[in-house]
Amino acid sequence: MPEKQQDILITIIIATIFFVLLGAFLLILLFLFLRRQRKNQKEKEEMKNRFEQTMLKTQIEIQDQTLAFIASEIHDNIGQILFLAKINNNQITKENVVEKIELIDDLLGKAFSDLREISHTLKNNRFHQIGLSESIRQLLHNIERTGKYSTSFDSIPSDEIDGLIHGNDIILFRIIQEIINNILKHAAASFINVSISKENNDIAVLIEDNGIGFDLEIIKSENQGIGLHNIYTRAKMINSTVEIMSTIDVGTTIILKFKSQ
Amino acid sequence: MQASSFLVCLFLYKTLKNTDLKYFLPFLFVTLVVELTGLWMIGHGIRNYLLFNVFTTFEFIFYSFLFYKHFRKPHFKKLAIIFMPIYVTAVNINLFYFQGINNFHSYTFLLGSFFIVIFCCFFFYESLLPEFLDNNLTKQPFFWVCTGLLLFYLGSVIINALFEYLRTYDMQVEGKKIYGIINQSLNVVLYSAFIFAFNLCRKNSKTY
Repeated sequence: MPEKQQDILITIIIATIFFVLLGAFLLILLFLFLRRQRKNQKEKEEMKNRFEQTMLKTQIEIQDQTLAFIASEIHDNIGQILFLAKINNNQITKENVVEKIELIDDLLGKAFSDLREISHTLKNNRFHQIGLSESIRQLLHNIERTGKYSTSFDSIPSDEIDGLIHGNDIILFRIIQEIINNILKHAAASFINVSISKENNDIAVLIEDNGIGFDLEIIKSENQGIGLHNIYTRAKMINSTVEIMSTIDVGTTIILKFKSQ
Repeated sequence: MQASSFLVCLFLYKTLKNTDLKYFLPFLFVTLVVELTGLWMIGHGIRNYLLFNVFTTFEFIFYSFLFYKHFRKPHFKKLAIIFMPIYVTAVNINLFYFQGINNFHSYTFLLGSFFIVIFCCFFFYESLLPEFLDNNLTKQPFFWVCTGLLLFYLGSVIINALFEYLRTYDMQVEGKKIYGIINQSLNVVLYSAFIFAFNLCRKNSKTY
């Protein structure tokens, strides 16, 4: 066979192999791409599931907090008042009947008023109905009722908050609730201020107290910051940043900046 | 290879009959009959181009119908349907005006190959769409049919484009040999892919 013809046949074979390899390469590329796509989709679903779980957990925690508040109100307040009324009832004699009945009447009136307050708390504790601002207002009101703290609250209108937060408000509220819980437990403060403001298109929530303050580095290094870790994790989930400034014996200021998407 | 894929298809027909691959049984039967008739004709010194020209037309229409059945996007389905009459028209034009009755219809074969490769790419493209991402591609029997078709038609483009040249007097012996080797190798790939797809249907039916 002449050399020229042999060259042509070799060219045909090489070109055919090349085309088949091209097809095989296309298939491998498709396979790899699909694998990556499926992995991405799985990660996305996992993230969504994690978010939903956090939402659910947050709702349960908020409910638990409310129930704990009601339980302590019944035990520490109404329970005590009714017990006092019972003692007074047992102490009634002919001589003091008028005085004791008046006292019992006062006590029962107080118990009734407290019960009404609890009922009001329960009725209005549906977060989705009252929104972020009103929930914070109620939280601070309940704290102030203990008589140990004074509070102040300042906020931009609710509809403006809702427009920027898009359904993440329940997690933001839970973060605020957790920060306030920490103040009540550890700060030995007498004043709590919460303010919600708007910076460009972002929402800034400032929570400050006049407590004993803490050293952030020590808390972090001693692994005591589980509450803080929760705050950071949740804030990250709703695209928010946390800034903590604390001075010993002066107080603590925490600023949450929620970046609207 | 054709015979073994036909036998596998026949053997697994019970599981294939609930899928669109059931159409492979008559198709592979026709393929086998055509191949055997073609061999017999060559043995008796009769030209078999007409037989294969008719068969390849039927083959491309069959594959196009299969793609029509498996496409999920309406415009791809429409294209597969439109291809059928266009291809028959092209074969007739080629028959009457270009390559005639006594030649292999390489022009229309290349046109058909081109469209089958395009249809394979459309099928793969559909598999990449987010709405169909949940289906595991390698567990779909038609993916393997598509793989076989893609490799077969991509590989056979060169030898079919140069078919007339390979038939010339000075290339006849070597050309025939090369044509035979390449075609047989590609047939092994194609029919192995078919057998794999049939077997996958059996496995899938066991899973459900």
